[in-house]
Amino acid sequence: MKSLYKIFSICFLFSLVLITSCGESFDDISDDFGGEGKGGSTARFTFLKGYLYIVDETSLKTIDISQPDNPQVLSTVNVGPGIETIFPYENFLFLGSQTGMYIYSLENGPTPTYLSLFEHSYACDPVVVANNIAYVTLRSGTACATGPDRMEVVDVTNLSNPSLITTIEMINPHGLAVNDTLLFVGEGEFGFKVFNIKNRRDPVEIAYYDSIPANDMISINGRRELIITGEKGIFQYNYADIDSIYQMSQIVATNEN
Amino acid sequence: MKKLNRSRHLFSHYFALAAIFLLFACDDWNNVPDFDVEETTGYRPVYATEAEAEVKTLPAQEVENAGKIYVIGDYLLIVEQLRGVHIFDNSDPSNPDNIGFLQIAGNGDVAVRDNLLYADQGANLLAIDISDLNNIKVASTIKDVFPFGSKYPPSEGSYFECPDPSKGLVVGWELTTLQNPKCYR
Repeated sequence: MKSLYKIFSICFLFSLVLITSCGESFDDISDDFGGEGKGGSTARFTFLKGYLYIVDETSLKTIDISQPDNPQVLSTVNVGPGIETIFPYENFLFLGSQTGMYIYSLENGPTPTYLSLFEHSYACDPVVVANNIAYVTLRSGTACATGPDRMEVVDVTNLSNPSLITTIEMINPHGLAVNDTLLFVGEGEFGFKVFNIKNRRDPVEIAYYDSIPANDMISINGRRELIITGEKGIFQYNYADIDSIYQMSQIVATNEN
Repeated sequence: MKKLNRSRHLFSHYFALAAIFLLFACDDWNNVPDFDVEETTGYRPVYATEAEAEVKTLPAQEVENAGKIYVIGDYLLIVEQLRGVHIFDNSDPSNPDNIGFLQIAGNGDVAVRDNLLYADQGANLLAIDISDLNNIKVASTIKDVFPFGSKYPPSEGSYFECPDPSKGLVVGWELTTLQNPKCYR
């Protein structure tokens, strides 16, 4: 009787495996999109404290998503022209715009309140933040950029009064990604660079990959992995050992721009 | 010595002219450089057909132009600018597996939370329930979240035909010869 039960349960388990492996185009992929995801530095959407925040050209919108099937625009804050990117950091939102870096606070509720604008010359690029330091790239070569190609390292300990620590000359900087010890900066068609930021006020370039075009990137800090998007496609790197960062895979883009 | 001064003077004129041009170029297409051009090279919007405008999943497609990327759990999403989102199973990053394409005409950005994928579609913000990829649903649409919509051609500093929302969603731009373009960026 016991062995019969055993056979039954094995059959049952086996049939379960069969059922789950017999889906159509998307096999056994339900419920895998739970939790919150992560975008790159050029994202215009981000989640923070249960709300969705969106930038669009001139404004910053708060979307109440507490009722999943009925999201609502809770508020629209007019920021200024040329707002392009949004980055969440603690209770704050950092916006990249063509005129500078805006900092907004969510400490007084879900509608962002203005803290400061760190101005720079006309340029079009994003910002990332770690350990009270913001890294902002500015690039020329577009209609909107009159300034030089560089990265600004900005102390944002006082969020109402950011101060420039240093600038680093770049070739054509685009998106970037940061964790506690490393900073990755895309140089567009010219590749990407890795900086050691153990001394967070003084990034030191430790590697330059000039053959991997990089417009934006996401660092998965837990897995020590970097995902890069650029005109040749998607490249994934492992940086567990920063002395030997290696490429894990490539997804080829068939239309190189 | 005199000559040097003069060339400096000239240089400053050029600089001023360039600055004025850039000022104009940096604004939206409302402030434009010169619209007396009758015939010029520029971009024309490509509109979605009725079939293309439907939000739905399709079999995996090649990545043509890699746009923005997004990571949710073991999945990697790659935006195919103005067309939709490639879905990769990235549980093994050494071997990302292209499992399907989520068609969202006019899309540029996505974000995912609790099985809902938020995406811009032209001027609208969609929340798409992706808990079952075989049966995705547009859970809600908020209109006019993006008043500027997906209205720009891929390169800055060029003339283009202003998109007409009544013709549908813009899913691409073709480089062509334009007569009396009214938009510039």
